[in-house]
Amino acid sequence: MASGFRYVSQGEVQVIQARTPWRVPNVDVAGRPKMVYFSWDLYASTAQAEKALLIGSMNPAGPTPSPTDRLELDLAGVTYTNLGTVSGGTGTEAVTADSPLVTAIDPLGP
Amino acid sequence: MTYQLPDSLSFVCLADGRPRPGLAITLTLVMRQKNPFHLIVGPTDSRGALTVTRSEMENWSKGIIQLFPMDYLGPDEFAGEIQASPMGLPQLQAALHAFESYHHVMSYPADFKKMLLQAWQSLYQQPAKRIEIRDVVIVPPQSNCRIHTESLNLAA
Repeated sequence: MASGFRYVSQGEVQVIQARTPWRVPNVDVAGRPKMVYFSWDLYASTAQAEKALLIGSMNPAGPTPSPTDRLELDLAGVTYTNLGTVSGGTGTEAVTADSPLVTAIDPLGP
Repeated sequence: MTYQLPDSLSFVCLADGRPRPGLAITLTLVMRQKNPFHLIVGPTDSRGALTVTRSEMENWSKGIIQLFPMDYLGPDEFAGEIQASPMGLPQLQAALHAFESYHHVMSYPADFKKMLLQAWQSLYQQPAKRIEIRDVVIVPPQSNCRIHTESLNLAA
């Protein structure tokens, strides 16, 4: 089973947990389709994920709220595109238009 | 090149050639990387007119990136293009579904659901064959932002 990891807000966790089975939403807040980004890399802390993937407080377009949780994704049957290493970061990134299954939700350390 | 959101954008929405109150528009803020921001504005007033301010656009964007930190970059990655699309019944239905999923975790504008329902009711009770956006006014006029408007054909 191919696994990926996604670093998310508490809000996204609540949206996922409200559904059965758990899936990453691929529709945005306006009801339009949205691409879903994920990484092949597991990070245990918010700081590690932010630094490697340039998200949250390390967002190159200006700091934004930090991710609070890590999702583990089951990528069986999911069509995705590898984007390689994040420019300016160290983590890998991939993207899909699908709505991957979530197999685990773990809070990130600081 | 750096692009900034305009101070405000104004539109007039026509249904079958006549100004129609109570309609909604989707604005797409095109970004250089990752997902564009989609935001919904409305309702149009009795003259079919609608104005959206930069702070409204920024508030939507902040709420979205707070919810999905991996999927969006911030305003510095704005590509200088805004697409304005009228909303028909299918788009309003999708927006209502999204609202039901996200309203506990996203700060939608006040009366957002009421506005969507009003727009849905308007088009359901008085169907239109074509909705178009006209008379776009961008403030300041010298903004380097490009606005593209789309029309919606609702009947075969």
